[in-house]
Amino acid sequence: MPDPSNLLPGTLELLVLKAVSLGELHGYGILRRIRQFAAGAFLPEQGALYPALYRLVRQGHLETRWGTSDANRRARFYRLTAAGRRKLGEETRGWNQLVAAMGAALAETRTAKP
Amino acid sequence: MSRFEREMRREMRGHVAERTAELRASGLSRRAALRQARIEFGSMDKYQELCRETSRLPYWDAFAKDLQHALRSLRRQPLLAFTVVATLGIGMGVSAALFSLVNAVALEPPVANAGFVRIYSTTADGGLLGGTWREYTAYRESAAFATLAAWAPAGAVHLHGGSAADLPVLVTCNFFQVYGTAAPIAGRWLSSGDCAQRRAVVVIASTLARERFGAEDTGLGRTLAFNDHNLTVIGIVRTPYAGQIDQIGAVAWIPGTLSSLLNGKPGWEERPDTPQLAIEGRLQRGASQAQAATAVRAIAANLDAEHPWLGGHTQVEVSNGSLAQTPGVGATALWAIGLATFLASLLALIAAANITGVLLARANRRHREVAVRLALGASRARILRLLATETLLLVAIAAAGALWIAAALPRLIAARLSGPGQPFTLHRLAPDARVLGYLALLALLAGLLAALSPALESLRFQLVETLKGRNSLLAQPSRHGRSLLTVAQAALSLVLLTTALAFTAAQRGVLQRAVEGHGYDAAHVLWLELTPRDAVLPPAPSPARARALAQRLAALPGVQGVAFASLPPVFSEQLELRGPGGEPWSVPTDRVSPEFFAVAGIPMIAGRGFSRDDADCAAPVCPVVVSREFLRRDPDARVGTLLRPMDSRNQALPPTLEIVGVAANTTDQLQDLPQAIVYQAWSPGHEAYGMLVRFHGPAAPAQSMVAGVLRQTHPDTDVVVRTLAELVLRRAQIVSRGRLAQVRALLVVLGAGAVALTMLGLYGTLAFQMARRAHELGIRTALGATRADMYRLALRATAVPLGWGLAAGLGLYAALATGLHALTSGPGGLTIFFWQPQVVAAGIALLVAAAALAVWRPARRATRLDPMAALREE
Repeated sequence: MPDPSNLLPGTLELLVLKAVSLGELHGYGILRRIRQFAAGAFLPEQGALYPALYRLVRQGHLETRWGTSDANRRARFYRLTAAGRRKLGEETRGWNQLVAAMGAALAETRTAKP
Repeated sequence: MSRFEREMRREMRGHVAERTAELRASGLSRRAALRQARIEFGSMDKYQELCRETSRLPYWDAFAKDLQHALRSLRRQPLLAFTVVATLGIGMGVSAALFSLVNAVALEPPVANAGFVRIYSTTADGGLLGGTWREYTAYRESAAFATLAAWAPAGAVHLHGGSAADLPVLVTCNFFQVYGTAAPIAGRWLSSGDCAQRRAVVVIASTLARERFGAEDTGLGRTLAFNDHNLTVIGIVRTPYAGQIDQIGAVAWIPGTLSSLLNGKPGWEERPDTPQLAIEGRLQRGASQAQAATAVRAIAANLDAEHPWLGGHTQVEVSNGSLAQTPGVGATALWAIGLATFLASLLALIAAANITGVLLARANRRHREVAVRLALGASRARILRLLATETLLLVAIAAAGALWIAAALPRLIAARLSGPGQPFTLHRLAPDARVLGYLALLALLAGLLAALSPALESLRFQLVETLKGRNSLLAQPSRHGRSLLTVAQAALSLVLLTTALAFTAAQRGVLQRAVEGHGYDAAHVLWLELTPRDAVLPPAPSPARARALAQRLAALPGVQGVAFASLPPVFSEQLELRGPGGEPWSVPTDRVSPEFFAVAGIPMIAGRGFSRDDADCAAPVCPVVVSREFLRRDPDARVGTLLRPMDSRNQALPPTLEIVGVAANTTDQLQDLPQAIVYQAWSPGHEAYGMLVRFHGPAAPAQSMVAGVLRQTHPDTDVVVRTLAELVLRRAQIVSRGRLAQVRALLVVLGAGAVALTMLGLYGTLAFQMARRAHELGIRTALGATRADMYRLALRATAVPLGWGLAAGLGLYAALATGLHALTSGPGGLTIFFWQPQVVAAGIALLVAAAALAVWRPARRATRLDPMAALREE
């Protein structure tokens, strides 16, 4: 049985965008939200989140500001940009299409006639 | 630390702190929670590195980090840093300094101020002619010029009490407006009134003022005698000075309107069609050099149309006065510039190859450090950039040092090249845009060479093996890279060394050729020099007095003949004439008495020589004798052909010359090339004359007797009697001690420097290789290899790349030799044979000997290796 704890490659950025779309968060907060709606899936190492965050900032899908967390610490908060919203929509549609196609393929029991 | 770094680290530490707080809230101790949080986060260094790469830091941010790392690395190895900076800095600095001289001599105009132009008249075969007064007065009316001046060396005007090196110059009175805007150090410049009113005034050089009046700014209002005429000093100019006619060294500037007064010859205005002037000026504001050229060509065409008796078509060029733009020389000059630049660059390239070898060895020892960085997540590109920055920092520091050398060294070289009366006048020796660009290019090439290969070498290893402390197969130093460096150094050193040896051989050759025959009997002919003690020429002898003197000399024991001539066969004046084809031609000429050819030992080949009746020729057609080479160069010429001097309207010259005889060739002593000479009949009324005396037996008694007779007949004259051989040798010695010797000295220094660098490179390379192969050598020794085997192994490691280097160097030198020979030969040059077997063999032998010396010690160390100690190393 595959280990559900490992995220599929390429899905981290989509999950980050989704997590941030629900509201501005700092890095650790994003990690917690991903755990919440990714049904226990987690990163092998939490630090792997940050290269993905920085990549999204560089691509203009996220923007940042410094603020104070709930624990009263200085933290960098991330929020979605308009481009990020568009990116999230596109990636979600693409992912849904992929899932539907794979589901149909895996459910097929008949073989094609020669 | 940059803002990006600070924020990134704070963010990640904050993440760990948040997780730690969570874990503490779940019941873990502070220490356990922190440990757990860090394990869950992973390697902070790794993710920080990934974030840096992902974020594509602002260039300056990344560069600043790399620079800090480079500085730390250099501080840990100060000796290496100093070696690299010094080697490369000196190599690039010397190269840039030499290029700076090439730039100043060949590419820059002789005058600092913008808009300077020089007008040349050229012959159909590309030779240069002086401008005429008619042309000068026409050109100066053109709107293209703000001012136009003319000047000519005043060869027949002598400073009372001066030497032959004290050369006055006849100038138009606006001369100094063209050459300088700086005020004289005393007095004033010549003015238009000085020429218009023919005032007896002169501007002198500060060196002459110091010599005559005790201080360089003293002498205003005092007088100096030129050809028995007193001229008042009105201005003193500091020297060296661009208006000194580079390498000749003028000391006095006299209004051209005084020419006829001083030397008794018709002045410029009286001989308006004699090509005798250098014409220079400044462009009008807004006018270009091309516009000026168009204007003067149109004027020249009008002059040709208005004066058809001059014949032919005047070709005119306008240049900025630099050597590169001199008509007929430009293409050759560019070749020379290219070759000189290449030779100058060789030292820098050899230095770069040398330090690349050093850095390659260092790179091989850094595999472990690089492996750790890779393991921490750094990309290869990142590490490549980091390592390259270290080297580029060294190159940048070296380039700064090279700039200082390039600014300071040219002045020292120019001072070294200058001699008494021969200033090497360069108005600008500070590095300009071209020199800076050249230095930047050198630094770029050196940087690429020295940075890339060591950086790539640092990445050649297997990560796991290296982290375990084992040398992997891939970690073996790149042999090919190091061999290529040895090949390159050896090749370039051979080129420089052999070129220096060729110039040395040429210098000796000049002296050797001086004592060989040049078509006349140099060993048994005396040339008599009469130098008036008061520097005023003696009056020309009357025909009776000349005959009496000749008879008295001929009666001396051992004397076989006496002749008169304007100049000895070693020297000649120039005659501008038009051949049968109508083309202008400047040829050497001499005025000789009928006995000249027999006395000098120059046989007649066809026609006749001169007779007594040919002297004082007043007929429309006067006889001349030409050399055989003259007929070869003008195929239409033969006995009976008429030649026309260019200034045919001048009454002082006959309108037509007829070839009545052909003499055997004489050769130029420096180039060993036959000369196309026109001999004219000497007249006793000609004021410039000398005597030749042919004798048999030893030279010393004949010299003594002849000198004794002359002292009796010319009591107020210094008499010098030399054989033509001695005269030729003295001239050869002057040439060989002049520019030829100085260029040779520069090349010897370059060659020696190149060989020293190559020796250093070979030593370092072999020492490093032997150290790396210690384990292998230990095994060989344990298996029975003898000391001789170790020597052979060590020498073979050097011999192969050295052999390839010599082969490559020979090929490169062969390609250069043809170009160098063409550049140094030709009119006014020297015949230097660069491709001589003995010169090439000497170069190879010297380089091989130097290489053997360099590798002897590391080879000897390899033979004394303790096999047990070597085998224990792993």
